[in-house]
Amino acid sequence: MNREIPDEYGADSIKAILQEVVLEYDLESSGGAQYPHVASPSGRECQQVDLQLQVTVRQNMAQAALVLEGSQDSAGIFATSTRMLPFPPEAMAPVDEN
Amino acid sequence: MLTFPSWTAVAKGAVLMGLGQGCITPKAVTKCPFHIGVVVSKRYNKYEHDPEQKYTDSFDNSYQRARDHIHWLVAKGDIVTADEGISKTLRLVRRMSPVGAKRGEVKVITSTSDRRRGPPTKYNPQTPDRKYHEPRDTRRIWG
Repeated sequence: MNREIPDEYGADSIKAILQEVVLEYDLESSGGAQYPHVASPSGRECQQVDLQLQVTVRQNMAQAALVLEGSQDSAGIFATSTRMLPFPPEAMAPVDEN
Repeated sequence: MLTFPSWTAVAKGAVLMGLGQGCITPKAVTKCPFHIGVVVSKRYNKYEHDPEQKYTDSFDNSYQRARDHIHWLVAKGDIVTADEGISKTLRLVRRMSPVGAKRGEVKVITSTSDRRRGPPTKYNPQTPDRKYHEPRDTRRIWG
């Protein structure tokens, strides 16, 4: 989804294009892992899950992956969601040969 | 020490260097074409966030948070090497009710903004045509 944000701050009057990519997770379907119950500062019981966002950029691709960290699943860490981040077309050519 | 062959060796080296003979050509590098960030809730700061971003998490009411904050991980123009590229990791903590839904989403944002002060730090999903606030200059606050 593209969003065009008018930006009218003097010399910085350049439109900023934001593109959003949504990574979804469903912890109920993630192999039956048990998540630790913790007492929140408000006193309510809650479950805490640590997720890890991993962003990787290569010369011809970029991707974002969301993985579950520290679960009691035997695999330890498994991929939850991975999405490619589309490059702008003008970004494909090398800029420096040296 | 032989003076005559030594200066010719320098000249020979210069010619060979100019021709690129025997030189290993380094792999081409590219620049990252966009900023890459993620929408998170951050501890609320007056100098960084708008009042309407402020909220109190029901699980964590000890301090106020700011919703829709964009945390930028990779900057546009960062060098992407041929072998390693760029790798960044961010830990995200989710607290959920034991009986509630355990699904959700994380929004990853890319921006090609060339603003000198960097891309916007506030994400606004409802009114995309409104102005984003500039990151405020902290020197004005801290003197």
